[in-house]
Amino acid sequence: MGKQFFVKNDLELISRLQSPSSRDHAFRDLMTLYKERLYWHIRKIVISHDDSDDVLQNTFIKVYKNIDKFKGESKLFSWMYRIATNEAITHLNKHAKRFQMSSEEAQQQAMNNLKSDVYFDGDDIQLKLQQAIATLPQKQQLVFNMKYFDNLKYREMADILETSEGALKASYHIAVQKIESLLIGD
Amino acid sequence: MKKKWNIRETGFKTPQNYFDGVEDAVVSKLNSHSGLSSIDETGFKMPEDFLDSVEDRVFKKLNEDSNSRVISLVSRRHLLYVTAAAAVVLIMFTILTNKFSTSESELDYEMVESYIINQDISAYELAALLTEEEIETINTTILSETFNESSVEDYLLDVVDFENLIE
Repeated sequence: MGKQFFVKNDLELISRLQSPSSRDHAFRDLMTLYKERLYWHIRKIVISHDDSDDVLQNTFIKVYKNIDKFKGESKLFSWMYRIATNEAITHLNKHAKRFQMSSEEAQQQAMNNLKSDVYFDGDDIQLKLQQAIATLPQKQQLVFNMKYFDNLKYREMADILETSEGALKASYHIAVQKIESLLIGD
Repeated sequence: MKKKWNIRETGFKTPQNYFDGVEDAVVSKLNSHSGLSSIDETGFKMPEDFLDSVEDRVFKKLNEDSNSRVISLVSRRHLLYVTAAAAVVLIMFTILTNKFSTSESELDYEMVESYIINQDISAYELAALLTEEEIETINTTILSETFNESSVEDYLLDVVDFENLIE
């Protein structure tokens, strides 16, 4: 499904979402259109499937409740990605706080559980890559995942993460170098 | 060529089916030493048909949100009485302080506090000394400023032991 499809449908969707009579139907269409992309984006941040399911649902609920505040300054896709990113990071922080751990310790724990996770079927090198990503600072992890796996453009990432393209390029470059050295160094 | 000894085999052997897996082993080893370029996928997967039910589950959650009222662990009315009582204690304390200072007596704070406590006055009795209007003022000026949703959530996360609540 090309990006043109999303953009063209965004305009129509937004007007239907902001009209009370068609809101629920349009909201269902919106979820159908974006659920898979948002799920994989969230999954790469929170790692576990069950947590991703919770965060995905909360993301859509937040979108539904705040659709009237969406002014169209960014693409609908970027706006939802931003909500999903914030929800996922908030979830991680709350989880760490609840178990009285630092964010790094919580990530380490998630990595330890990954090998036995029934919803992870990666081979050794994929597991090693996830472990390497987990060693990066939070922002570099986001940038790496969005660029490497989702193939987002720097312009789109800048819109989602509300930062400059230059900073993102630098972050990605540093992240790739660190990961390469971890993968090859072993 | 004529062999010097009548030995046809080396004696070495391989694990069973060793040669069936050689290709995979080599590719795997190649990948493990070629860094990022060999990895296209994350390795994550999801339950079969999971995405088919996302819409219905989100609508269900939305309906639950709108149909159910949140029952507070601390009732607002109760909180109101406690706050009102605290305000009364504060007022009495101020009056007593002024009284003692005008008569130039040495003020014993602990004595005043224990006096109020020992009188066995309940929060409801103290609140009864206030008019509805005064209680409403306390409600709007103290409660609404101090107990907003995020500060209550932060407080619960920081202080409350959830395991005790579940029990």
